[in-house]
Amino acid sequence: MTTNGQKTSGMTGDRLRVGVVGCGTIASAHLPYIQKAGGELVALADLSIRRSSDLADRFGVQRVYRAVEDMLAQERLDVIHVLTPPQSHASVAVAALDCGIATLVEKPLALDLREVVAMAAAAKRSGALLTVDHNRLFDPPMLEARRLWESGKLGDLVAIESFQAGRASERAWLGEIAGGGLGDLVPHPLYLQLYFLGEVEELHATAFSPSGGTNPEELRVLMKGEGRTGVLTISMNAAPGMNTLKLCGTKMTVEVNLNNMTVVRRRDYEVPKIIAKPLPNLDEAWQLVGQTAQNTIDFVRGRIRYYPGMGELIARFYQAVRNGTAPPVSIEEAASVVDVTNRIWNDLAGDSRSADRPAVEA
Amino acid sequence: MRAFVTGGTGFLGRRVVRRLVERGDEVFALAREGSRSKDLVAAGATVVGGDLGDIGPVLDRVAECDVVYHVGARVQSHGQWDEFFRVNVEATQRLMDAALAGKAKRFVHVSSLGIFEIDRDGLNITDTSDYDRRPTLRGFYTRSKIDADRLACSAARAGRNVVVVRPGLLYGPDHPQQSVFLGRVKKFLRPDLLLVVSTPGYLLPLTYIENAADAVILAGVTEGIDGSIFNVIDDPGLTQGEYFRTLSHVRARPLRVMYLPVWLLAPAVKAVDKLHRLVKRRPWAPAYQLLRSERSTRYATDAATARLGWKPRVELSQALEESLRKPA
Repeated sequence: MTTNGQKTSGMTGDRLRVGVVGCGTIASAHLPYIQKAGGELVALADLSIRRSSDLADRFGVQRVYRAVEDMLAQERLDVIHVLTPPQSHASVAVAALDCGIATLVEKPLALDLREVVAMAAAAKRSGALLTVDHNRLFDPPMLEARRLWESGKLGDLVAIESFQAGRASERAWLGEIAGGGLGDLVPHPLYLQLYFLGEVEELHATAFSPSGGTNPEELRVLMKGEGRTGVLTISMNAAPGMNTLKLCGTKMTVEVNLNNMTVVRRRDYEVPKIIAKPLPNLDEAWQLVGQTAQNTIDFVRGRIRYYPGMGELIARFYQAVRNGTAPPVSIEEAASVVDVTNRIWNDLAGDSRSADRPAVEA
Repeated sequence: MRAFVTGGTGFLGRRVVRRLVERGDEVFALAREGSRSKDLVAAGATVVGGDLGDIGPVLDRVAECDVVYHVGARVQSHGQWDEFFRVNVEATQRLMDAALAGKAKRFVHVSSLGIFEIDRDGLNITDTSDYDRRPTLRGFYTRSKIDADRLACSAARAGRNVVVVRPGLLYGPDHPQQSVFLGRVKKFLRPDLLLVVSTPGYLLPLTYIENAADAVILAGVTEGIDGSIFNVIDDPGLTQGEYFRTLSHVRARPLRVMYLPVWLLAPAVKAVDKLHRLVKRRPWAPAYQLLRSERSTRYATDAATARLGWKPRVELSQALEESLRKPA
């Protein structure tokens, strides 16, 4: 039996001792996966005792703190989840990394590259792992799409298109980040694009607000990456909500639907012309029916839950912490998302150059 | 010394106030305007008009005191969660903050023994045992006491001048029907026949109200115990059977007790619980609470004895006599 008063050191058996900073909306998504991935959630920290108490009550957490420093001083944590508003990610993560605690930060890793550099330096100093919650990359259909690309079945990937429709969730701190609600939405489709695009050589962005608000609500970004182009669209006004990513290769096109958790392949068939038109449609319809049925069964049986990619990412991160291997998302990947996000805002402001970019050392 | 007491008109708080006045302390007691605040004045305390539900206006006064005894809480079994949270949790944090930012050398938080995880029979609960892992299945009072205890212990661990006292089920003269005859699952079948949903071997974590007051005062004045947590139970080995035998002996008329073991009800309760899980995937709170109450637990009081120098001054039979004595 663990105790609520003693400072226990190191891992208890195989279970990693986990702390969570920030008990807002996204924490409810993280918490169930901590236990599932072999972590023992030992403490929560939040400035608001209402938020931390509420979460502690729902998940049976034994200890809560208002100050992160108190939590770091009192608990010997193996892992920390930094789920605070983006503007405090860097300071919390650096403090945790300096204590040698493996750190998982909610997206975006930070608001600018200088912060990322500071975080990377702290990780290097202590040897603790640092990763970011690019959870959509680990949703089951995304993993399948990644496998298809990496195994060469897509052929050469030449064009990527992502479309995200829907409004940002209300968050008290949205006014404090670039782009407001839209700024909060950008990282998810962007890290999906960048995973395939690699280094972005060219970028053009356009955006506007139909209602004439200060923050844009409609955004399109055209990017040229390493041997392929990408188009990223976010519409806060289009309905119904949508979240798709299309990967066009020289042999196959794959469309991932992250709302419905499906991945549909469109192939070339060497068949008589008469059925060359209907066959792909029938094939795609069949794939959708089959996957929808499977997803329904899995959901009812509790095999998949909300944010499945987050569960996978957390499991991979804990595995990496135990084995001392690479984290599921590298600091370079995270840095590149932070950099390109800011290049989008700069381009919208009339300057598309990479922000005087400090080198990020992993 | 200048002391601030919350809950000064309550079962435990009024005794704490009386003892502090007897000690020669200058006592400020938080109380709502009303007849009971006159008792505080009569006892020699200065009444600070206010309410735990709106603690802001009295915090300046709190900051000027040397010791804060936070005894008060919303104890009703009805009401909204928000109200319980504001009174029992938020007020605790704000009082603690004001006291420690002010002159206070000690903040004494009076908690409860109902807060622990008791997932099986025969557990040995210490001052550092786990909290109940399903507070949302407990009543609002207990859930709020868990939340408040967690915050107080967090400050205690962080090296602040906080001491947590957790008395057991309190009994004493003021409310004999609820406290002496235990506000547990019980019913008088006849004036001398009591039906108790439990077993004679069940360990009763009782604390006589005067003994609890002793512990609270010691927690405020003992040197070198900052950051400590004390479980305070008169006799950790007292069984329900023994208790009712002593009670029957002390009472003018003998008392017969009929026990209805929880396990007799358990199959039906568990079946309803299972149905709930099937439909809503969430346990059924009454089942959780009933099955929990069946598990006998021994509470260690070593810390209170060793570090607080506390021992129950009034023993069971005398405490029961005092409790049942008709007021003059």
